[in-house]
Amino acid sequence: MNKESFLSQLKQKLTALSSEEREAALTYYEEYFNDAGIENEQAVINELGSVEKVANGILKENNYPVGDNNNADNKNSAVPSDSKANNINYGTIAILIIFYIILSPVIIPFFFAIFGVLLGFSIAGIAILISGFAVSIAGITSMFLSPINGLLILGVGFILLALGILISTFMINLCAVGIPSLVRGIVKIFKYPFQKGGINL
Amino acid sequence: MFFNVSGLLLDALVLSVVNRNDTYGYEITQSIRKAVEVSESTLYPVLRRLQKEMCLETYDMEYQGRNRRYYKITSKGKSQLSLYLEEWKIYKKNIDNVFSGGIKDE
Repeated sequence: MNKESFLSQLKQKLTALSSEEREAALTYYEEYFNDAGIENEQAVINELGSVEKVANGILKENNYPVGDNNNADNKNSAVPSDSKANNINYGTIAILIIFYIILSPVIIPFFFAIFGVLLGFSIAGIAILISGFAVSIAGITSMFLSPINGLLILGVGFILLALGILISTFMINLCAVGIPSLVRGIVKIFKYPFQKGGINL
Repeated sequence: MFFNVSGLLLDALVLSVVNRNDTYGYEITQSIRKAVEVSESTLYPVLRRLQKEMCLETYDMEYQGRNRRYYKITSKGKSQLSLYLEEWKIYKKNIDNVFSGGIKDE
């Protein structure tokens, strides 16, 4: 291996870095070879060791996970895969958490209230449906005694039945869509500061 | 040289070499390798980090028709170095005390 092949291999190994970081490293080693002199070129290459070793040292310094079989090193370097992850704004997270704690007596009952309202309307719908059945049956039986009264009661029963079906299907649909998104919403709000900060729970 | 040199001690060595006079990568490496055994590949990441931490700054100067990047210590680097030197004195004294049997169980 000579200087040129060393540098081109190093360039390939550093593709994960920003072009600025990569160029800085390549410039450094190119100058290093020049300062060592052509007569020392092989000695420098031997001393530097493998291209991987040089590249891993640079990648590790830039917080990139080093993909070799060295587990002890991986543990240290695999944590922040992005240098931006280091700039966690702990202040904002703290403020958000405090905000949630203060607001939790409002937010949590608010969600329960919505849930309660949904549940109330659903039960009302089902109750109307059941009463519709009952009134219809009562109408049919009273027809034997007085056909006109029976017909009236049966009509009221059918109206109740229709109203019950309408309200319960509407509420079932609303719950099927509403409750999961409500739960997702709560989870999202409370997970937000942790996700944003890159803290893994 | 049996003892491993790494981390802050290496930072301190680099800073004190650059503190003497502005110098370039190859020369820094050779100066440090006179004293301790470090691989030629360990110095670049250290230099780059010190540069990012604003302890060192660089400027380019022409040398024999090509460019050479010189490292210069900053005021932050200087105060960092004097902190390291103070810490080193304490560390050295403590280690020496243990070696010479100066610290004994009471």
